[in-house]
Amino acid sequence: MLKAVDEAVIQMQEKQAVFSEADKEFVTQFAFHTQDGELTGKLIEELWEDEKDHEDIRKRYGTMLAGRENYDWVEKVENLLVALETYLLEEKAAMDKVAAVLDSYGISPQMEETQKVR
Amino acid sequence: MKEKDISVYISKIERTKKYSQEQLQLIETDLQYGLDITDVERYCKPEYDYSQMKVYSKCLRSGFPDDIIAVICKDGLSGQQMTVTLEYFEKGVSIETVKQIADGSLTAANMQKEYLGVLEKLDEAQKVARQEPEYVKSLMEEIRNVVDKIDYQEKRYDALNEKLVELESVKRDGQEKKKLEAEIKEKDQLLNSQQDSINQANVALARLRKENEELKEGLKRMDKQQGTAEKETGQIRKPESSQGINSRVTDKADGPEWSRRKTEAASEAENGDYSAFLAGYQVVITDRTGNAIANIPIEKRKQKKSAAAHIFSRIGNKKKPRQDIIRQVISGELEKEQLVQIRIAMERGLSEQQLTELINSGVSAEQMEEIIEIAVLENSMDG
Repeated sequence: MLKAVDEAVIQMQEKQAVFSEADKEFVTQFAFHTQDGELTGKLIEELWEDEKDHEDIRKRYGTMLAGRENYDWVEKVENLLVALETYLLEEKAAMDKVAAVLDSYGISPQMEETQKVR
Repeated sequence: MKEKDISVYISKIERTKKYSQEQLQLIETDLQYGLDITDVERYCKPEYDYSQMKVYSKCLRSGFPDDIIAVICKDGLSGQQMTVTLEYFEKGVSIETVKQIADGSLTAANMQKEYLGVLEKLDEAQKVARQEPEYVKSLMEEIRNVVDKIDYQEKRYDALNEKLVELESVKRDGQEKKKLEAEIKEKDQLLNSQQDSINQANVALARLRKENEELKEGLKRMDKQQGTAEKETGQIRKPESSQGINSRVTDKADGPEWSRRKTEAASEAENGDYSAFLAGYQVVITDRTGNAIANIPIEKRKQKKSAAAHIFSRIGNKKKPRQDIIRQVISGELEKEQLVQIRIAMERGLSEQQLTELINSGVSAEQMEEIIEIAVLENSMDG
């Protein structure tokens, strides 16, 4: 269920571009609701290449989600899940960076356990 | 309500001739069912026909609250409209929806269509609701997993933070170590400089000892001369008068001091104390014929026993141990290098006891050299 979200976040990180918070949220939500990695990759590419019309891009891809009907509370739970997953990935990336810096100084706290997380 | 009362009541309203037979029968049935007269009178309105009264009666029998009855049996609705509204309310259409549809503008047929639409939606919603729990369950499970992972990341963060704190502590320890090392270095330098001072003092001490030895040698020579002089003194004629002696005493000093000394010396000589008289002067020793044979310098006039005599006495006291040392050296079968070290030890001022121990130690000449250095250092520290 969250695989598409993970892939989307990794793709955005690999682009080494600064996506706006609105873009990140839209991409992760889109990936979660469509579960379509290819389409999500295309969305990321468009957002990365076009610096101006992100609003239009989001609107265009948003129409693909319009057919979905769901209860408000279910949608809220979905949004919460996607937000938590995104937070986890961001936090993990940050922690990995800190651990790498410490590792270069010969300090490796519980690295073996870190690998077990994912 | 008793049957008799019901009959009385029915007869009473029958006499008004406002109600049809069907209506009267409905009222009687409701009363027999157990409704109160007040309940029945709520639908016993002249404007209600039988079908309306029947719907109202059904609402009362079902025990609907007044606000629901007010919606279903709203004024202006026909009997058929009321019937449709009641039917769909009973099927589960919400009272809000019923209120919206039963506003009086729709016919019973249209109302029925509306209600059917609502019911269809309800059915669909019920189907979705039946499926949602599984989906929501999976969502909740995923959320739980993600939260667990976030918890782990928090623990990892704590571990990293702890390491960073340790690192900071190590850094502080390093600074403290450097500071202590600098202090130790400073103290080492101070110790070295003090050691240098001690070494210089030792050198000076050794030099002074050597000078002391030389002085002792000088004193020995003087001792010999004094011995000779004492022998000769016995042959010196006792002076006739103090002036006679005074005339034999020469001194480099002149003037009032000399006069005073001369007077004191003369007075002591008169008392027969010649040694006191002799102190502080250069005594000319003469033979029987009066020819001078030696000059003896005497520094302290008042001292009854001269310094030389004191030193001689001390040397005299030490004479025996020294002789012992010589005996030990001879009997010790020491090698030439060892003997040299013994001589150096004596020159460096080791005590009799230290010398004895050194001779009897049986150690090599090299070791003796080191032992002598230690003994000298020890003596200097004791001094």
